[in-house]
Amino acid sequence: MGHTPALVPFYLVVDVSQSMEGPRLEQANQILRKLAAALAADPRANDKVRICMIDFSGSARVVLPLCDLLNTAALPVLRTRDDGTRYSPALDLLLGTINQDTRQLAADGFAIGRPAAFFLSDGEPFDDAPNAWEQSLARLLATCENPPMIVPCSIAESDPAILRALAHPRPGTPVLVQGADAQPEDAINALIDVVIGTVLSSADQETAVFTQINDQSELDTIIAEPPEEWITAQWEAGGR
Amino acid sequence: MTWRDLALARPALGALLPLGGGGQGKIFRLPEFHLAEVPVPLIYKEYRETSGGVAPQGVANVITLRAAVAREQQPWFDSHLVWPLRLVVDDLDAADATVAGIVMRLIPGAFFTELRLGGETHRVPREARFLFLDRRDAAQRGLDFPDLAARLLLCQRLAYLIAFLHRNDIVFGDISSRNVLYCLAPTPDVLLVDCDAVRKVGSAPVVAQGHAPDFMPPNPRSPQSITTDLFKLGLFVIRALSPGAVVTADTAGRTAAGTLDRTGATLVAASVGHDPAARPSALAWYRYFRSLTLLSLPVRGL
Repeated sequence: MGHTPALVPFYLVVDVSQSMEGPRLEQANQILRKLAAALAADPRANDKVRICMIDFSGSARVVLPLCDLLNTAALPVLRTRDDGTRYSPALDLLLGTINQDTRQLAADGFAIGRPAAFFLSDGEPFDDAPNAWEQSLARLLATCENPPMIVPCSIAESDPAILRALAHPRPGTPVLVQGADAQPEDAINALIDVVIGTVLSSADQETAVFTQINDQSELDTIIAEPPEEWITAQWEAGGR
Repeated sequence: MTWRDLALARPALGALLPLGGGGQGKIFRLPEFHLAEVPVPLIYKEYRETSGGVAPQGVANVITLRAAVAREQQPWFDSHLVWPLRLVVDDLDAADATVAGIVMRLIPGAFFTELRLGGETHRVPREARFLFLDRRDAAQRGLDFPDLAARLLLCQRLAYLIAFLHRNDIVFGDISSRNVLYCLAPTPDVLLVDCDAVRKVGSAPVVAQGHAPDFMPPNPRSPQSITTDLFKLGLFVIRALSPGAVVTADTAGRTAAGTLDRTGATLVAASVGHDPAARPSALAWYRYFRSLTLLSLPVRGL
């Protein structure tokens, strides 16, 4: 039996609470469309990645089950829901979905790379019970059969400190934070380029690879928390 | 790469919109001039006098240090270091052209603040000197007074930046209360300005620059180096974490002992001491701040 190339699963977890209504949601709805266009132009990358989208507000649901984006008849359209903002249901659903997808892909004979999850929110988890999202995160990291890299994306009224806590593994995972002078919809637009760049370059590596943030006009929209490896000596970095 | 590859004559910049003057010269916004590799608004900093003493190739060498940084690091680099991007010369064709100024990025809006002075409000860069004020002085000037968590994060960010430069064999040189800017939202961060005075280890400085009076190392005649950077980083940390206190190199150790935990106080004492070789690296400082959690705050009395 020949070498089976690993598939890298990507999970796009997107806030659809009421505050996303308007231009923010319009931009969020461009994520899958632009990603599909980029993958259509790069069939070799498309063969190696799979995409899933989960939306959340006070509840969470899988709006696009893990799939080859180019074989999807119609891309889902996100709509806002008016039932609060909770991170816990989204993290719990992410755990269940990754476990299920991992087993499914393995049963289909695929090798599976490390999944990556982009977690986009424009608000704080006001409606979670105390400690709820922290416990969900701990459960996800401790019990997931294929623990994901989690890249938090903080826009608008979300709390960068809370989202930073979601980043995994640390150090090394960027945290994307909207710049002070940027509009939320511009930040989402810049994020799309980061997602596309990451997905395309990950196809070669069998794990999520964060390429340079390549938006040409919104450099200050996104601040990536840089990894410690950038400042350690070469001998030290090589020895780890 | 020769300096001509990175040089421009002033007319090539297009329109110049004055942004005010500073100690080192005039600053102009460049609405018509753009660089594809740094897609942010740019400024032209014109040196106070046409500077026959600045060698064009020296400035070009500083500019190319940025290009030597790994590609995936450059967006972060450009959003944390106001680096020279092009040099502007008086006569592009002259063999003995002199440097008239440099093109740099515009400081992002997040690094500005409103400052109240004598009944008037001015928009000014949020310089580290504001971080060293006590709560009352800050309030009188209409400035934010960052809480402890923000101050620790700012120190961590500065330690990271200096560690990054040192990792790339670059001496920043003039760490001072004017050259370190900070922002508090969306997350505390620092920005180093006046990067035209940096120096590659083993190279002579391009722009002669002494130590700022309030960041004078124990031997004032010592040239700027990795170890003077580390002295200044230690002094910066203790000043940022003991706002309002008058902290000099002589009193820093004592202030730190009464303010920081034992590890932090030891790091400060070694940083400001007379033995340059004993100064902790910026990486050591970064790891110290990384190790702190809000449950084990190392600072008393803030």
